[in-house]
Amino acid sequence: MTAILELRGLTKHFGGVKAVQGVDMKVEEGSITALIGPNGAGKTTCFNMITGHYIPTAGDLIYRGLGMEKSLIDCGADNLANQRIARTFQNIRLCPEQTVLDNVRIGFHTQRKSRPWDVLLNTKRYRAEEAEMTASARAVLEFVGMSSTEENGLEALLSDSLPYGDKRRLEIARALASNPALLLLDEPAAGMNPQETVVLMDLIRKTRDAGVTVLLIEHDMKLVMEISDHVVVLDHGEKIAEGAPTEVQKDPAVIAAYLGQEEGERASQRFAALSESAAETVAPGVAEAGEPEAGEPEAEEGSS
Amino acid sequence: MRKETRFFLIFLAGLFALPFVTYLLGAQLWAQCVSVGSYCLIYLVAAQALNVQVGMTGLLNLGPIAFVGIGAYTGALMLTAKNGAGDPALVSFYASILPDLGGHARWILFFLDPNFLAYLTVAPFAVVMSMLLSLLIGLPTLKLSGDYFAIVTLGFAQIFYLIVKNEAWLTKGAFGVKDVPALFSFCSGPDQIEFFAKTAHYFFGIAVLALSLYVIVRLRDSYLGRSLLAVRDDELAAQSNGVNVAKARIVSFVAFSGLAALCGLVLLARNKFLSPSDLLFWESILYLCCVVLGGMGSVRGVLVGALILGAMGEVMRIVLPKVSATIGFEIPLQIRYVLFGVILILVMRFKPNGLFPAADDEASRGEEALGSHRDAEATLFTLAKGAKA
Repeated sequence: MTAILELRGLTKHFGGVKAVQGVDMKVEEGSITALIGPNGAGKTTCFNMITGHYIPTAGDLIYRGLGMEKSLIDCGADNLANQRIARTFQNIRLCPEQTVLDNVRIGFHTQRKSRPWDVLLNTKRYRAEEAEMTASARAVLEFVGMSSTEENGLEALLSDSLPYGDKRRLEIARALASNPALLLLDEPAAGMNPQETVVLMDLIRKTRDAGVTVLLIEHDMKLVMEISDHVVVLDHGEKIAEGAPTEVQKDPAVIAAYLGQEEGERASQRFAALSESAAETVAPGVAEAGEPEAGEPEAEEGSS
Repeated sequence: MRKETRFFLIFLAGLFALPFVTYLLGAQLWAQCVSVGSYCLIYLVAAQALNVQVGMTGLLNLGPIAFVGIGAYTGALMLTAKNGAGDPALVSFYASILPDLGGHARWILFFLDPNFLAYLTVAPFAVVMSMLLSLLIGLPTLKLSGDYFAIVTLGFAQIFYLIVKNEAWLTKGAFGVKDVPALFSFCSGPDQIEFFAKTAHYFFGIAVLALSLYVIVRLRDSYLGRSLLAVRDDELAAQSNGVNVAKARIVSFVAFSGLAALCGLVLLARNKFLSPSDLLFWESILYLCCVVLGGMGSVRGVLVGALILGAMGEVMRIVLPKVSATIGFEIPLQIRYVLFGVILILVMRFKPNGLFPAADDEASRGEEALGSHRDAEATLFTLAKGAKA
């Protein structure tokens, strides 16, 4: 297996803040890789460097999506679709006043061949391409499970009127329309209810099976642990652990980063000094929170 | 036929029929209707051009009148340039190489008219001039975020106004450019054909409006329009889908400044006179009001908005004195401006997205398009093919 994307000592400083500090990681081709970590760990900064919205302070990004090795630095955000990298956003970014179908058709922007004069003269090439694009957009919608039928007329709805889970899927559909080799998902399950999350997990797996490498940031540990092939954990801008989900789950450094074990111990000691009964009530709480699938990520979701 | 196309055709047909119908009803009414109608057409075209920039691309252009003015002044100065004999050079040139058609052949073969050919000759210059100047101010500012662009265009329009007013060696200054050749040779002189002499510029305006509607609707329904709308709605998302945001903005601004210049020629053909007082800041705001009243981004809405605001001022100028005379109480003409304000406040209160919100238009077009292209093959989406195989 080759790594489609490789981060080599990737570093980003904002003034004195070391948001990302020397992160090395590989995204294997055809895998689902998850990038996790507490809030402020530098996950989104990493994403924004990959997608060209930030320029790294140091380090390199090696990408092999087009059959050759290429550095993504200086590639530019709008050139990324040409590199077959697509992304979704943490807070949904659709065109609210456009129909579902048009939102997907924007995704084909880099694949069209018509020129402006084809549009003005309404040439055969342009008409054929529009028809092809519409049919392909329907295929994408079907792929993400949003196929439009005569009854629901889904494709003609304004994307603003969709329920939250569908908006997320529509965003993924738009990203898939650009025919990506690497798909970056920024917290795809944020704000979803458990049923919607299950549907999303199936979709991500299906996307991987169709040959798209997926790199995702996620706080929903259930999703991460179930679908990822490889998990990388960041904390305070540094990589603290990586490996298969089961390994990462047991890693003491990860547990400490997520749940602040030392903090928790210190707190319980302080309470213990005050009164025995208080220590008893706090301690079970700490033990419960020590499990990796704890309630904390959900609390974060609520705030985001 | 799509509902929207039908609306455009009926609208254009209505404008076209207006002088014919009113001609039968009376000479005074006819003259007034043509005057008001041709004045409206300037607003109709300018508001359409502005709508692409403001409504579809999200570029708040506060100085569209400058680009109308660039087109009009380029046209006026080229058309009035004199040859050795003291006649307008371009018109004389065409008159010398073309046969002099007599009688009704002159309006039937209007495309061989020397004046009209002179107008057609200056049109590309007017458009290119406007595009060059908009490129000049667009390149440095459109990479910045939205608000700066509004300030720059506002400033540009004011600077352009001052230049036109003060650089008299080039623009004839505050006295204006007089004696611009008429749109057709049969519009003036002793052998004019009365009906067409008064209406030729009006039909010219309709032709420019039809052309701009065709271009805008084609563009909006294509990948070009979708990328502009994506830039308007979400710059970041557009970018990550491969849309070059700065380029999309510049293309939209420059191309439709070119259309505004064409609108300047409509103004010139109507007035045959041009002075800095045609380029007041007030006009820019009125164009913007047409867009807001109709519904930002809605082609159909902006047509209606421009028709209402364009006609209202002129109609009231004719009607108000008569009303004053009947009720025996002088209503000041300036009440028109108060009424503009009242209309805008009412729109903001009751129809905040304009008379025809763009989103409604989009939704109804989407519904009409349901099921179209069903027989086409999905070749661009390769994942589905991979998954099925």
